[in-house]
Amino acid sequence: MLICTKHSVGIAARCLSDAMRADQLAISMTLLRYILITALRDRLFLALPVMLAVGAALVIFLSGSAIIEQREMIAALFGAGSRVVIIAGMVLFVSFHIRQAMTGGEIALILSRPVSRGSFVLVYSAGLVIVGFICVAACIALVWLCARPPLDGLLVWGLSLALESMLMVLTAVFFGLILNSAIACALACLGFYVLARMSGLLGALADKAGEIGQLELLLGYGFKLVSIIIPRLDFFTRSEWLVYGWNGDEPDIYWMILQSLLFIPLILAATMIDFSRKRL
Amino acid sequence: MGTQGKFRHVPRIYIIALLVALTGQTLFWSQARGLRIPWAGVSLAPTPATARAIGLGDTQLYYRAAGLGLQNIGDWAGELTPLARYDYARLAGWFTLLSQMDPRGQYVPSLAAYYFGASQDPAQVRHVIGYLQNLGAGSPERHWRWLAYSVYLARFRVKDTGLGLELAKQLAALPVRDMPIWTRQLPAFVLSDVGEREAARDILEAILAETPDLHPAEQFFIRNYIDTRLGFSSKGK
Repeated sequence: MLICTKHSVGIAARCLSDAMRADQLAISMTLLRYILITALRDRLFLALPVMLAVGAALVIFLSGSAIIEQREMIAALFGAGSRVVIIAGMVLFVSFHIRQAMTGGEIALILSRPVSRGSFVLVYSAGLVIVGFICVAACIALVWLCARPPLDGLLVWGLSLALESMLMVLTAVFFGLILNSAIACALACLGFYVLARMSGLLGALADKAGEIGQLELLLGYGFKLVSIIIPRLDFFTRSEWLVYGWNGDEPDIYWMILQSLLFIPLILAATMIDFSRKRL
Repeated sequence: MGTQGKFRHVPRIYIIALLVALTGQTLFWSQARGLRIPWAGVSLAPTPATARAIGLGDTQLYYRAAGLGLQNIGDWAGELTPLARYDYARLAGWFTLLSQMDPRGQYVPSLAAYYFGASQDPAQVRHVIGYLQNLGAGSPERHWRWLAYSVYLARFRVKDTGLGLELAKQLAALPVRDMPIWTRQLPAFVLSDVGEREAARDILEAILAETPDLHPAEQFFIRNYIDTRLGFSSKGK
């Protein structure tokens, strides 16, 4: 540990740098705590599990009438339903959280401390991603309790849902920081999500669009252009993993991880660039 | 969190408006509660691309949700629809679509065979048979049982022995190693039904000749069948 004195300029500079780093760390930890506290305040950790539990009850009731494969029915319906609840819940939480923090001046207050906007985006996003992971963990536990899926399938499915929720939380942070309306942010995110879940199919249709007509060809080109930056969420969180377990020959899981590794820096960089230009 | 003030502070006109609206809603309920929206019948199955889009890329979700929907189709809001009123050509389209969504799933074949296959109308059951036949022939390792069930439907529901024989021959010829021996015997059983006893005997004796490691109980059954049901003296007895 360095002992800071006034005798050496070099040592003083390093001391200052270390002190700033320690300060930034303290601010980051405060920011993380702030996000977790606000999630508690907004009853997210109560509302989402309650919604999931109600959904589970409904699905168990519905699946009870299936002539065979009732467990598989629960796994598929609850798996997909809980995914939608988690993603929609997190998108709404992030959208309104950011808007509330913006209008309440909380973000401006945090930025008045010695923390760069880039660091703010990273720590803020990390905090929200952790909140998402907590909700995903509750969801995985409920799926295990209700559907008793094969363990390998549940693990892959849970990992996939965690990655999917992370991508969507980061997307919501991006839209939340650039759009001035929580509703617009939530709608943009959900539209983005639908496009991303359908991107594989739309890509396949775009490839055949030329056979239908000129307008379809143009639309196909338009979608191909947009699809460059839209993540392939159709590789993620498939209910079939909960029904049949994970098929080891399936290469989609590698595509899923690769897609996450590529899209996370992309959306974070875009958010940092846009937020660093924003007037608060 | 804001607290609620006292009820008597609410302007009286609001309360009157609420009571009038509540009365209107109650009147509407009393008139509309007996009304049922008539069932429009089985809709056309969507294309596989549309189905994937509806499931947002989660084909298993679509398979299960649409399968459960098919199971309950026509039976809702307290109304039960007899199977005779279903459009089986459209149902077969749904079965085929859903089996494309999940080629491993047994839910839709079970629904088609055991529920919709219970129709008393042979023309309707033929659609189910067609679906099961395609399913069994398309992926014999996984679905040969449904081809066997289609033989049953053809023989005992449709009462078309010719069709049953054709299906039984198709089943017996499937290149599946682990199929039980009775699947190879099935054409013989159908043939004996229509009085083709010699042809039935030839099939059974061929099975005995080609599978020397057959379990003794199975061998005894076949020989006994040839003797007692077909009325021949089996070779190698």
